[in-house]
Amino acid sequence: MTTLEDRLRTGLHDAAERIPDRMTTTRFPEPRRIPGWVKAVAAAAGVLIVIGGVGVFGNGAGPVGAGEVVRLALTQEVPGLGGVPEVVNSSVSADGFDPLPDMTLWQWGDTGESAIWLVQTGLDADLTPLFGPTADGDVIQPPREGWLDSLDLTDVGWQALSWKNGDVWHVVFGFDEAAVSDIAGQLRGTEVEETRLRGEAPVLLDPRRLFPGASVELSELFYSSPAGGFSVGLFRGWPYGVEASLARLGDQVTRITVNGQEGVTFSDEVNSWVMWTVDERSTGAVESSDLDVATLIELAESVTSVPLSEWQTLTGIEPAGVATTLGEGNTGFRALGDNGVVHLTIAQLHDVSGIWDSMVGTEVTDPDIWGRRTADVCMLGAWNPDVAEVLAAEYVSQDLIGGAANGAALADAMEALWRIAAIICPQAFPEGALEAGPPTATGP
Amino acid sequence: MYWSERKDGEVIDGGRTTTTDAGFEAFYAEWREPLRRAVALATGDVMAAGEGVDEAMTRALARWDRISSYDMPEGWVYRVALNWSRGLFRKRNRELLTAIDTDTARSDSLPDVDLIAAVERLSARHRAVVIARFYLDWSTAEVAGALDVAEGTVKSRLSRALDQLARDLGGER
Repeated sequence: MTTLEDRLRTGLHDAAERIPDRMTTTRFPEPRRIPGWVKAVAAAAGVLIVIGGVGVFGNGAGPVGAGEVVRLALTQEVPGLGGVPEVVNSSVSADGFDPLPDMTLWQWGDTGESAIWLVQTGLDADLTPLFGPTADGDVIQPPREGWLDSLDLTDVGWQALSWKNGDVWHVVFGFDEAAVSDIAGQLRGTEVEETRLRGEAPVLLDPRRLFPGASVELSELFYSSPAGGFSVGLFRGWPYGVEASLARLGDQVTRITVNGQEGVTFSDEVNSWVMWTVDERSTGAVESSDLDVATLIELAESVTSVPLSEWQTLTGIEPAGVATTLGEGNTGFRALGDNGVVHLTIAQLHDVSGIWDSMVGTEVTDPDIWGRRTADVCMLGAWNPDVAEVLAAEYVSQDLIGGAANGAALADAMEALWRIAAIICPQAFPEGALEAGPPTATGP
Repeated sequence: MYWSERKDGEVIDGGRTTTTDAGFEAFYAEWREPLRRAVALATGDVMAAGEGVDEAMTRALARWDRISSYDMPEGWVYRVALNWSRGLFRKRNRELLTAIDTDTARSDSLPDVDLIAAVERLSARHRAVVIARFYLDWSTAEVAGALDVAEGTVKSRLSRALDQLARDLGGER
């Protein structure tokens, strides 16, 4: 007879297998997955076997072989993109990490925003690491193999067309749909028997999560109030800005003007968005699952009146000052890059630094330091001994000239962090954790 | 163009240079997916689960020298991912999604949809324990270590969760 415990084991595993790789939604179709050339073994025997061969490019010739595509690519000019392409790939990094074996990449143009690329590779190669954004020549490097397993090409707004010859895939991609279509059609030799890898699901993904190595910095304020929650964000170094959103979202965006700046509105599975171009390297955004678009536009117009140079200090603005329509009771937090920062009031900073000084014996009054530390303390949970110990050791070693803390100092620092968390984010404590008191050192 | 200028043995990671650690890579490869699914089951939010586990993995990597010395680094990641997924930075009035749409699942051959629906009715705390025990297959002691509670608390929560499940499912344990 099957016990409930056996039933749980079986049932949970069955359910877990059905959890989608990405969030699905009933409002929008699931992103179309990159077809067969994601995952598996490379077999691009034809790569780079034909070099040169100046000639007139022909259309309408039907499918062409892998080597022929290379030859044709090397003679094909794309107006405005710097003539014929150059081979730019070298997927093997200095430490031997090679996520793209047997791949050759050609590039027309030399900027991340306007270039068109052709990839030729084996059917089974994983091309996902290619599709991180570049910004002003910044290099995108997935930190670990497998990190980008869940990356879907469609998420980042690329226009791409792919086709295969035997065991070789060709993919032409870029942000300019017309240019991609043109070059792909010409290289294919006929109208492309296409797999159109255009974004269909308007999912605005946090670039920090998609591209941990990217030089994209997100400053974001989260607000909540009885009227509804929303956030205000600035993507610095988000190289494609509003245009990327347009490419990704297609007809689902509505173009608007926000205080004279180009902008769009759209909705994803969760929130409605208003995004606008702050400058060529930055995009602003307001999002909310609660507020209507008109209210978001009103918020955006308020925020766009803040000069870009002041965005870094935007957290100093009282939320009610930004969202005057939302009344009192707002709270705000700020995330910057991979390190969250809690904006502390002067009184909170006094309390926090005082606790640290009295218990650890070092005077640290820098609001930026405590902004970052309190974010860690609250987000990771200083009520957990493991977390508290790791953080305490880290902070003590930062504060003490000459090295790590001894056991007593570590225990005091752990308790100090617990007390800081109790002041800054008591609502984040699990049930009973406040009553249980500070953790004690238990780690190795 | 795409690949960073790197020195041997170093990886550029968000402007930070860290020593490549094969141990973390193996840990990540082994645990990222099961933990993502576990957190999705425990929270009902597939997207937050993915983000939470990646966030926790990033934190673990940043402190890997220390985290790797723990008996169960995966327990630490599970807890931090749960914290993150349910925590401070997720408080944006978002409606939690259901990891498994049981209505759809009924017509999609999920064998035990009633069980999953019953699990989803458990409290978050009970669900976290049940998932760790019966999906991740951790012992009660390991679950206690992962969630940073006493083993007796885990046993108590498990017992209450199983009682509720039995009642919901109309049967005996």
